[in-house]
Amino acid sequence: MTVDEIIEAVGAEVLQGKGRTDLDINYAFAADLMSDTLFIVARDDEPILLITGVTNTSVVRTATILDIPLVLIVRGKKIPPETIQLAIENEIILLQTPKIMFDSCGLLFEKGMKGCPWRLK
Amino acid sequence: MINKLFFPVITSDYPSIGSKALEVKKKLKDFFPKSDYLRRLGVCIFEAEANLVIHTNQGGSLEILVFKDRVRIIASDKGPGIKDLSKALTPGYSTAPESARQLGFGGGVGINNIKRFADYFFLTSSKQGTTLLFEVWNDDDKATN
Repeated sequence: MTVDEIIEAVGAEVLQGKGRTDLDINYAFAADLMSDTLFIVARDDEPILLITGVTNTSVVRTATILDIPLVLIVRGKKIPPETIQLAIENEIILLQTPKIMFDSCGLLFEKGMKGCPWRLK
Repeated sequence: MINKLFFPVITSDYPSIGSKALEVKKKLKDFFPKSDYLRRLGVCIFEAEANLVIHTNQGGSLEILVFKDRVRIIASDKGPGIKDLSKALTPGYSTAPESARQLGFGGGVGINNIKRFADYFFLTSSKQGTTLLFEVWNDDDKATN
């Protein structure tokens, strides 16, 4: 899915659009625990979408460390400006949807998005 | 040794969690161009950093020693220590406060993530403090000792 298709599927707002906008993203990982997110690894040739309800700066740091180019924040939470600023600095595209995580995952799954199968070896 | 980095880590400074790990990853990009290796290293340092912020009472430090074929990380603090090491190494067991959990930390997988991804792992703890030493080896040129 393109970034635009993901935006359309979950009715997302773009909070920060600077980054790799030309990607074709086919795999996603959803978690509210950043340590759980750290358990997976994105591959160079297969970018991953991170879906989370976490809004603090750690979500951007987690994405940056794992080379995750796109983060979707669910449940319409208020995003601290420092999170958006850090996303700009690290070129992590940041989206937000008012939908809950379950619905967001379901909508993306319907469009062909799959769960991330990779973990660190 | 190619480089040595040192970072003090402050107790309960939740907004800073991951900042040292990210800085190390960026600084070592030129030394270790393999992105998979840098991700593995970054995850381990992130977890060690989070543990220092969440679980210490006087903060602690991260010492990063960079060698040609590996990076050695020493995370140390002055207490209060880990009461039960075997429980701390059980996935899902956590003594993190609610404030940490609300921010997405304290899921009880941190030390296990490090143990799983590091190539060398040593943990010792008493009331006087905890020292976690681990190494992440570059796959292309594994350390031999």
